[in-house]
Amino acid sequence: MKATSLKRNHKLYSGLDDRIFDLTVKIILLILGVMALYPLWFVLIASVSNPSDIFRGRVFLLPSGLNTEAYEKLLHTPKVWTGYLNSIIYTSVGTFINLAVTLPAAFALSRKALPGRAVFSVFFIFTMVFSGGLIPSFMLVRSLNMVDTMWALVIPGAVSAFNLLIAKSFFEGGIPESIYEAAIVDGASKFQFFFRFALPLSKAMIAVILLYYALGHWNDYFTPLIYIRTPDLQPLTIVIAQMAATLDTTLLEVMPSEEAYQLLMENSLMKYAVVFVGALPMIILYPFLQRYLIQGVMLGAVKG
Amino acid sequence: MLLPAIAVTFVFSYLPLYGLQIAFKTTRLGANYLNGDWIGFDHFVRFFNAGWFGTIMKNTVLLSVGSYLIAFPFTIMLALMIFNAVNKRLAKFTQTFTYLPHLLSGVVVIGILNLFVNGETGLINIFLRLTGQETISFFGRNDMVLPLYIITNLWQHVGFSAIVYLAALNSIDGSIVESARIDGANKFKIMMKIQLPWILPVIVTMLILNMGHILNVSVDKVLLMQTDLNISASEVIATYVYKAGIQGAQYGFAAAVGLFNNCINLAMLLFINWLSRRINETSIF
Repeated sequence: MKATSLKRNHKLYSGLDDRIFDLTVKIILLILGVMALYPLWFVLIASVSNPSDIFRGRVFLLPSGLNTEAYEKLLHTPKVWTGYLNSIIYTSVGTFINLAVTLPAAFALSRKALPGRAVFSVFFIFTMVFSGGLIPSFMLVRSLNMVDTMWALVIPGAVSAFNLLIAKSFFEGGIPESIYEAAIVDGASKFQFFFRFALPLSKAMIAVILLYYALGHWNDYFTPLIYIRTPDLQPLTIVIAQMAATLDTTLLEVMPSEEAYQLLMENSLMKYAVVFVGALPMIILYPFLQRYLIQGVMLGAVKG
Repeated sequence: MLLPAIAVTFVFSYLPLYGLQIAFKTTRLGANYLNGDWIGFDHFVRFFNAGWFGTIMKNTVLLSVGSYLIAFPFTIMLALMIFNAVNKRLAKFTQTFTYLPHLLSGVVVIGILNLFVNGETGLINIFLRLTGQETISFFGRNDMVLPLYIITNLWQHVGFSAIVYLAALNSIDGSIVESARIDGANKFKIMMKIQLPWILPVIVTMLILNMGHILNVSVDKVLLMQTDLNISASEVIATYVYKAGIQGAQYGFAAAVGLFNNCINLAMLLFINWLSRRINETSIF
């Protein structure tokens, strides 16, 4: 949200207390901003530094030189690239299914003429309040033979009731009943109207729920952890977890030697690189996504 | 147009409710997993009587409520600071970089955490070693689980949660602030006496909405932070269900534990809803 709409009437009175206030705000904002940025920054500079410099505490604000060794190694680590590719496939297929199922349903629910509208709404809302939980869902997916396939990741969660409600209330407000009825009277079918009018008029909302769904797929770790067994089918999150987020017992305690130390340093450099590679897509896309994320909060807030 | 959504929701949200009966049955392996014998509440009784029941409940509540209660004031403070900033470029900078972590997956977040606190190679321990202090085994200590979880949660979500409050602050009537200025109120007073009360209803609403997830802990993050050494502080219901059910194949028992969890969540939601209807005459449903 733009924080600029406060009228600049502080010029009226600008005593010492106000200047202290302004300064305090500035300092707090600076501290919070730097604290938010620093972890990612450190991972980046550490990933291109000489590992022994990191160990001597010389890498803190700027990288020591430019050491692309870790990234070159990553380039030759096929599982990172299969992970990337799998994540891209799961995210695009999954999001496509999400939208293909959610949007028509939301539009249908938004029309007052729909018989049994309240019943259908409750049918979906109930899933937000109570669910069978992990185990019964797992047994179901398993008995449908979807374990270890992409379908386990993209079909069971095809409808999120939350996104469905956001889309529904957007259609209610954005596509007036009168226009819809006029188009139907003029001979348009429901589907024609949906594709030619309702969807093009709802681009802002579609962008928001597309983003929500896509983020959900891209960042999902737990679902593939449960359902995907074959290494070649693992998405990026699982690969990162295996390479960087697993906690290794420190070699140094077991056998403190020069080689162990060297190995440890090389390993940790790889970790920096793989974590940064994992965060990279979001960092690149972030400037384009920020607007929609904020809009999404607003759409959700209107709903709540 | 409704049909696909209804079909998917019926199969994957309602059929598992039918499958919940395994929580009351002996476990049968294979395709006919629903054919076990009825045993009533045996699985539940076993869960309640187990020695670690109290520990798991305590951890679950501590991690979810603790991180939530700490994040709350930070979120409101961040929104107030961004809103009151005179230097709009600084406000934009802070806003941008406090939102960004919200997009990252739990795996990346724990990966970053790992690089800061892990064993000999983490930045904090490097620093401690260089200044001649004892290094800390962050993932080997029970008392570190809660702080680490809270810190990662703050980093990930505070900026994003602040958006709602910022929007509310933006809707303040400028004339109220103006007349307060004319009456000689300084900026701090305006923040405390006008802005904060203005967003209070939003604060209450958000509080209520979040109480419905009282037992929800970010399972991927907790799983990744877990080690054999900190297990007695990091085992929560969700990780326990995963281990007993998916890894240990004790389907009936794990389903019972999960059902217990969902029932508490539902009860909390209904209770909070009832409470909020009594207090400010609004309810979620």
